[in-house]
Amino acid sequence: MDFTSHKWISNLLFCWFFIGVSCNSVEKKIYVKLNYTIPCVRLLNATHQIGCQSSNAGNVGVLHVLQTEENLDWVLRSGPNPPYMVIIDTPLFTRSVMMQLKNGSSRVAGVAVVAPNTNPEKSFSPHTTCPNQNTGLYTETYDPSLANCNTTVWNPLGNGLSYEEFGFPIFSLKDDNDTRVMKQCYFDHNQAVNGSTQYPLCAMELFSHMYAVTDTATCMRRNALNFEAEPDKVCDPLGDLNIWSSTRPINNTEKGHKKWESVVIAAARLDSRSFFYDIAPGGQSAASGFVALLAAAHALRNITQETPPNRTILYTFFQGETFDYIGSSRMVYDMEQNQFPLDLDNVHSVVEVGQVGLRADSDLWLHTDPVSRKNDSINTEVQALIEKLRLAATNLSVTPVSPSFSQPLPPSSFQRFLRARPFPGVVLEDHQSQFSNRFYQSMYDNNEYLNVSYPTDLTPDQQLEFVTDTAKALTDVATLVARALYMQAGGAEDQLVDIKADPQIVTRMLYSFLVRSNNSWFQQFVPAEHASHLKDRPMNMYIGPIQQFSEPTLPVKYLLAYLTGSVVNVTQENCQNQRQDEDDKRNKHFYNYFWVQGTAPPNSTERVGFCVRSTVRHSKAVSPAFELEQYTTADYSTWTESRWKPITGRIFLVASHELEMLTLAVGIGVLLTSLFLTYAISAKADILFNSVREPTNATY
Amino acid sequence: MNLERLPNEEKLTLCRKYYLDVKRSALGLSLWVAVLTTWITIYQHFRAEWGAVGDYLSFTIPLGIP
Repeated sequence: MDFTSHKWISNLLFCWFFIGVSCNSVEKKIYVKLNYTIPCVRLLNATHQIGCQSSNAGNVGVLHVLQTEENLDWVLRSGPNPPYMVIIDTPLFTRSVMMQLKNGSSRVAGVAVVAPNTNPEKSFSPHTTCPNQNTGLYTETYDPSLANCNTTVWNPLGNGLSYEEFGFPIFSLKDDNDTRVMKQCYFDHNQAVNGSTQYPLCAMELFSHMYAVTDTATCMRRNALNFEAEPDKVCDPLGDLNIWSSTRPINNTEKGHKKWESVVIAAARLDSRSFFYDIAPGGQSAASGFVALLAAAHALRNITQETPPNRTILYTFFQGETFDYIGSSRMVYDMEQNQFPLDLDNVHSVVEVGQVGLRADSDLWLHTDPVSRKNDSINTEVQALIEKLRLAATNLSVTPVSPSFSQPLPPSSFQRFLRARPFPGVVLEDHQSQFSNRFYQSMYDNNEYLNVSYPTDLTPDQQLEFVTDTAKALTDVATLVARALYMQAGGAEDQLVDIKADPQIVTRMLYSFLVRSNNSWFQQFVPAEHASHLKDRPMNMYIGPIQQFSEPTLPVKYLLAYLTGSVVNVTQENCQNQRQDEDDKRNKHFYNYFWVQGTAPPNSTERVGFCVRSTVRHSKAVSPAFELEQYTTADYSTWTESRWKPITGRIFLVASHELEMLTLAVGIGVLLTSLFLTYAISAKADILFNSVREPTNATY
Repeated sequence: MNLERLPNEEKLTLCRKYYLDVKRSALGLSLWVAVLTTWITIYQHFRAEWGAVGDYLSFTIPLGIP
């Protein structure tokens, strides 16, 4: 008995296995899954939703490769098989084409944009023409003539696509084998002969269903309505960490005003974005500035220890500035609320490094705020700061120049400080008025655009060390910034010649952020648990939702510690417990200790770690709107990111509607026939089967 | 109650009572159907417009639509 039941079970298992395998292979025969797809996702703020989404069940459409803009007529009007899934190459990814598709959205199931392997010749910026228009300094009440980019349109090339709402999914595809398969499928099946197409047609299905809808107030409210039936949240605030450090240790445990402390803030931004979710290289718009500031901080390490100036320099790296100044608005808010180790009374002045990677000639533009300079004392200090910057440029290939006095500040973190009260300050940029960046906040603002490229025969380690021209130019900017900061902090002029940024460090940083963060240099000063986060690709500088770190945040933190701190002789245990030795209870308030993994000595494969002591800290970069639960405020960023179902795409062949109906009809016919037959046979079973049994009975 | 022992007249009154109950029940049903249909139609139509109130009245909120 046991044996037979065993046999049954094994037979059953075998059958299931067989069914499973055959189902799987049927699915594989029908669908080709897309491996590399980058979606556009939905973001929300106080008043709007932007981005893309599919329906809950995914959007299906017949593929159409758009070759020219005139070709749109087939998609929007004349084509016989709507809705269409439109594949476009980058030159057609323009506002004109996308808005026509958006307005004809009942005939458009989705769009796949094939990203080129090299940057386009022309410009492309999916951002708005006036970035952070409503949350900066220049409001109607501050100065009506400067509000809404009235005097200077900073990003005239911006087409605003990133801030549009699309009712269908939009994906980015690499120009690779998958895409060729897809295009081939179109050419084999869908191309019209004499204006008509023949079934079967090649179709694509895209899933990117977004949970959140309408605006941030709605989705935050629905997050709070946490029913057991649906425990999931629908959206998350955008947020991350600001990274900061000071040239003099500051007690980080005591918040609020520090007596006798006066700091010069040296700021840069850490984030960027593009139209698509996980590709935001931010070369010129973020990396050029923060790399220059990191190099400047490194150049000042020794001199600020040996001959410290009167004032402290506070290096700050703000996150989320792209989305209405999340990081800087939060730091100002924290300073006002005594939640930060310093307050606004401690701030002496601000020097911000903006986009500085594309200086066509030697000019570096010193932008200032004309409104606060109407105050004489502020103006005097601003002029003195400009003078220091001019002096700092001696013997450098950088010429600091001032734009016209009446021009407002470009989009910058400094604006959020000026919103609180007037400070003297300067924003350094490589453009006089409109951005020199042709690819502002787009996927092309990458290493190629910044000319961070290497001779083809170099190994990754050689590329890491290769000093590019861009690195040399940025080094000069970094030296200028370092010298100016030193003087602004009260340092002596005769020390300036000793302050020099290191081109080797700059080129390594550019390589690490824009080409590959997983390299031998980065590996040595990150803690072992972070090493796996380093990637063999450029960093994605999109801030992302509050729960996960944006890619550059922690590397910048470790890098800043390595470049400004010192290696101390402390055991691993003490280092990880934030102390110099077992009895030390004081230093943790002033210093931060990182145990980093270090390098392996030549004759070993085991890395030898070491302890880095620095003043590097982080603070929250989450908009105060979420602290105050004011989701409709106009003063702070209210950006949230929707959650979504897994995002996928696949292509397959579809039959004509008639064939589908015919198949269904035949199926129903077979079912009805079999029902009738079964009924008829069982009704007449006596007649049909008795005659066979009778003779056997008769033998008894 | 044993129906067989009951006189016919009482059976008749009982029957009448049951008949009236059935009628009332039918009336109640149609009333409820009317009330609920009206309310559900109004609610589904205006839920998005009502914003917060609409959400608080609801037990399951659909994902991805207003």
